[in-house]
Amino acid sequence: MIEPYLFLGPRKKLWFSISIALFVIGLAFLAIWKLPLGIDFKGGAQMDLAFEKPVGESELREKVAGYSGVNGLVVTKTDQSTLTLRLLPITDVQHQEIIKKVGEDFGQVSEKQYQLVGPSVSRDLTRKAIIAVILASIFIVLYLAYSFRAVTYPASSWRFGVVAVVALLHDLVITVGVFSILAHFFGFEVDASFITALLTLMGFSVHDTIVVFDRVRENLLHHKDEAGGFETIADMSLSQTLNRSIATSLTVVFTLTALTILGGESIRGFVVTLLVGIVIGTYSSIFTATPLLVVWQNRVERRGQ
Amino acid sequence: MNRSFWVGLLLILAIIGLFGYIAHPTTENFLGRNLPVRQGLDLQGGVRLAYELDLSKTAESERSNAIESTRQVIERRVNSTGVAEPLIQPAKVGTTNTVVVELPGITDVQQAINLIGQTAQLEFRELDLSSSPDDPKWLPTNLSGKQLKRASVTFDQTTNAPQVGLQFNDDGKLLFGEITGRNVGKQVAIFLDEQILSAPTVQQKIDTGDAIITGQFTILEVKELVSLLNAGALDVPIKLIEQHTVGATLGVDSVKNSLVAGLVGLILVGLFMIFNYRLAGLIAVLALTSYGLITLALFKIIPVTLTLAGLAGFILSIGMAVDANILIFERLREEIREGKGLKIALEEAFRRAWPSVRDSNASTIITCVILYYTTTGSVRGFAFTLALGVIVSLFSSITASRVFLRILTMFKIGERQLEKI
Repeated sequence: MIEPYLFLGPRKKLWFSISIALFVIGLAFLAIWKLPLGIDFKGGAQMDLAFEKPVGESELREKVAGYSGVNGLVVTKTDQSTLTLRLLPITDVQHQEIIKKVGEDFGQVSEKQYQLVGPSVSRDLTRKAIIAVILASIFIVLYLAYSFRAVTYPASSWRFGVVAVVALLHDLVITVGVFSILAHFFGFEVDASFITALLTLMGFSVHDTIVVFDRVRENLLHHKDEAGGFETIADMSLSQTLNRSIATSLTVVFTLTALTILGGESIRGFVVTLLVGIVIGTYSSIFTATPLLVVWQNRVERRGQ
Repeated sequence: MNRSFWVGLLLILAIIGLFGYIAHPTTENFLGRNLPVRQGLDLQGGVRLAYELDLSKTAESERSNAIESTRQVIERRVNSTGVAEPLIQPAKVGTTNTVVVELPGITDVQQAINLIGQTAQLEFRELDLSSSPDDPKWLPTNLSGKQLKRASVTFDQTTNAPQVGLQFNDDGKLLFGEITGRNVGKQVAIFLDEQILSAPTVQQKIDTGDAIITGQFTILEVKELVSLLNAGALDVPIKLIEQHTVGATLGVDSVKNSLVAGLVGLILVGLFMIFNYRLAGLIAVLALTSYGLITLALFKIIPVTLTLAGLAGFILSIGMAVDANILIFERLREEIREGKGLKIALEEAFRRAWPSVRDSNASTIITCVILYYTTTGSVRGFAFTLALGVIVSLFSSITASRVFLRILTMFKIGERQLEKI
């Protein structure tokens, strides 16, 4: 008896629709709201100033814009007495000058944080990280093709690696899209740690996909002659690994939720990005990667007939 | 159980005990080596400065030498300020060469910037006799800071005013002798970075290679000058292009909160594992604890500078360590449901879970190796801690948990409890 499909069969269309919808929505918001680049990427100077007395944003902006050497000024309020100034790169002397003048105009002020960044450093790191991700993807495809080499029939071992990397791209794009939405509402910014977060997700996404694929591999070798073919075996594998997928994700989600709620303010954007990505990564291992493998297999079989 | 099993158990317990001892916060040295827990700038607070090196006037073949000597000079200057554990490393950004300086826990940023930014080019010049005494012109000589052996703080014997004592090397000794010899009764000027420090009149030829810079100096100025001169001159001009101050309070605050949060998260993971897998879950907690101890100990031994990105790598590797245990336990559940006896089911579970543990972790290590060799800075730290964590997790969740579980199967009660998974 062929049991009805739990995950695959006609339901594949639903999963693909969800994935495509998330993908498109993510890209759309990315196009509308963009990624708000932090100082790490834009370059410039940023001063976090704490005042003794409350100071208004517009008041401060008007005054500081008049100082010498100040260009492209943006003032944002962090809380009652803390304001952030962003401006185009300034020299060290100009920096000291500005603090002195602000002190004269607005009373007691202390600088909590000062950053001067050339945009090239983070851009360079991003460029290197992208090259690294492409290289790593190629090696992952090669490794999986080798490691899954026992599976030559019915599915070629190459497909496992390629689909794992496609699922990875899926996860990264959706996460970046969700981040642009979160950034819009919670004021997160893309800083250097954003790259680290995406790389962490890359590690998790591939890891999670491989665990599911490994079960498919094992079942393919053990149930070669069973009726129903590849799709049935893939569906069975998903049922068998579902508990593990959920349990593993939950443990990571526990840690990250604790970090989001209790952790330091400065890492919140980073942790939330991870949280979103882990959930999507788990989803895609079950509902995107394996169905994709099945669709590919079905195509090849149909062409073969 | 055979002998090799017991030898294995003893080894595992010895490893965990040893690393646990090293990981303990009060263990500050082991076998005569210091074991500091190094915190990166983003965790500890401090200043990060990046300098661009102007190599346009440096010959292609000399560039790597120039970068290294610039790094050394900056390092000596930073060390003279007494900052603990500074990090000074060259980094290539796009096509520009930079030197990144990280100064943890530093308070006076301005002083550090001033000190590092000096070029400290010491020169001796002769008076151009054709120039008028009101507007003296100076002619360069071959004698410069390069021939300097040592500078020191000295005091004038009669007035007790602080002054800078210079001692030349053999080349400098000869040159200084020549210069003083042909300038007896005339002025010789000492310049630092194109600015005249003093212009004493030569009384007699000096062959000892000792010179003194006098002037209206305070003791502090003399000390700074001496440390600058001893650090040597920068080979190439540098420009400050990046300055990043992390307030110590910001850093400390977020570290404390994040550590507490991490701990709460881990306890939740532990409870989840015990709730979900019962006795086996307890073993997983044990394996995780030993995993944590070993990794922390390795952080101290290597030593790894802990940064935010590094912690991210560590957290992800915890997830992967737990995942290995989950894979095995889910497998164990299936095997037991199929009606196999516990001992056989256990061996089967480990055997069958192994390929997925191997492949998933291998792909992570491949990614880490590539990240490590192709990137810099924070991403590199991330790749390193993640790879380290993954390797340790193979030991804790496969080797150690297996032995622990096997021991449980020797007791009736253990066997009965494990079967309830």
